[in-house]
Amino acid sequence: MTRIQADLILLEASQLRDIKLGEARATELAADVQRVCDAATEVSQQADFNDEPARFTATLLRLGKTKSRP
Amino acid sequence: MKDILSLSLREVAAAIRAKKLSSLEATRACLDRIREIQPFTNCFIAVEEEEALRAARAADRMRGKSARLGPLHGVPLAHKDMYYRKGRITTGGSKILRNYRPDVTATVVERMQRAGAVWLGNLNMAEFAANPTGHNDHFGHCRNPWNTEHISGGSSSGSGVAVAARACYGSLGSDTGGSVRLPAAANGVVGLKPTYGRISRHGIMPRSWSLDTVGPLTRTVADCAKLMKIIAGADANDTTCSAEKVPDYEKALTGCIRGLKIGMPLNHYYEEATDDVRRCMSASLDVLKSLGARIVELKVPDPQRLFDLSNAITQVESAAIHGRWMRERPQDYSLMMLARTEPGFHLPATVYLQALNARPRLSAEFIEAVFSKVDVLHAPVMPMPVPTIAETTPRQAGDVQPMIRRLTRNNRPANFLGVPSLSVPAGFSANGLPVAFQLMGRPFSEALLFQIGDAYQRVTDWHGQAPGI
Repeated sequence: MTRIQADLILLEASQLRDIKLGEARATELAADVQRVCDAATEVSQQADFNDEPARFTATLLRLGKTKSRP
Repeated sequence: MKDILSLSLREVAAAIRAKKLSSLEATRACLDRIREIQPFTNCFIAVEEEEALRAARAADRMRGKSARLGPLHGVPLAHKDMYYRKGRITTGGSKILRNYRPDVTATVVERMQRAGAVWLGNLNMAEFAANPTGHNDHFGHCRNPWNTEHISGGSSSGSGVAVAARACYGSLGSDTGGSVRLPAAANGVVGLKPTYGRISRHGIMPRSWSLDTVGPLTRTVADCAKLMKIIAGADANDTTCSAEKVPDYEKALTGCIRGLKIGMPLNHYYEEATDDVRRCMSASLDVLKSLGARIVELKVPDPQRLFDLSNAITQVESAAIHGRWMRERPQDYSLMMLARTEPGFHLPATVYLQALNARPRLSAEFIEAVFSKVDVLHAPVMPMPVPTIAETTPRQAGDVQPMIRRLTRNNRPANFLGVPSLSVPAGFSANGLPVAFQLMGRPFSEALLFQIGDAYQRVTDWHGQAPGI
């Protein structure tokens, strides 16, 4: 996978947010963003087509009610 | 009677009901104590002395009539400065909200009011609840009462300090990535991050909608159980708030934990632990074993992945909440807040949604893998001793994320999973600052966490120790 570069961060900051970032800060942000993107990409490989975020609270309820004891 | 300020929340509530103590006496004692500690700890943003005394007098008058008294009648409490009261200034620890008067009152505030509590004032906090240290560039840093060179922990910094220093009998904080548990641990008090959706978030300053939880900080586990019963439960104003029945948490405090299985994780949670923290954890497990619990070592599904995914959620939601102000007035934000939020502006929407979408499945995997083998998971809240303010003060934006990762690595997985986690004081590190363990459980297992934490506190006295400030 192509690594996220500081250039992308600089472009986004300038064109989407009208903000001028320094090169060093853009490099730090690129690393932070890369880390999170990698984690999300990895879990999305295992996602089921029918998964959806709104299942979360129902999941908590279901798992809280499980009666089985270790 | 014990010295007024040494009483627990339950003791002072009982004493006021029985007319052995007046609310006015308790409130005056707290206000005097606040005056004593405030110059050294900076734990309050605003003290409402006259109003508190008025409320205390009214509470005492009510006792003379045959009015039905609430469970917190006349008990003086103080809360993190992010709980909205209609028309009253709530700063969120920020310059931007310095004069903000919300037009709603938080559901939990209404519940505390109905219970009869007295409001002492608004407690210091990290700006917009966004740092785990207690630094605050606008109102001054909060300082640890055990050693004022050290952090108080955050973001519910003032809550941890005020409860530890006996300036109030309990406090509501909030926990999105450790912000109740860290200040509880750093100050030697109890703190609960509840199941996501257990307590209403209506009328509370947002940090990250999908992760925010309201959490009490108290001196004892039993006090925490009492507060939880009052504030937990369904709320039509918060659609994420669960209608799951609220148990009588105090009834769970049987003192018996025989046969319960307590998990000790073999991966992640001890990876950066210092020897003194390991010793405190080991000693606490020995205590639980002596009470009849079984200690089970086990590997848990990768918490580091959960940490990174929780960043996707917090950073993007925080960027959405603060985007406009960060464009228009970035100079009014601290370096720490800007640095924590900035990545959120660059994360693709699909990444954010992938993280949210993974939550049900990853939570189910973790919960089924761990809690099919043990009843609770026991781990250090902070794997290292409480650091100093100086060593956690960032000099540049790039210092922030590594510092956050170090301090919150053991806490944020529970926020992503949505499970409850209770921080319980368990000794002191070599530098004389408190150490704590956390107990994590299945969703809605707060009663079990209280049962174990309370049993531990019946045979130990870490929670009874107060800083000498």
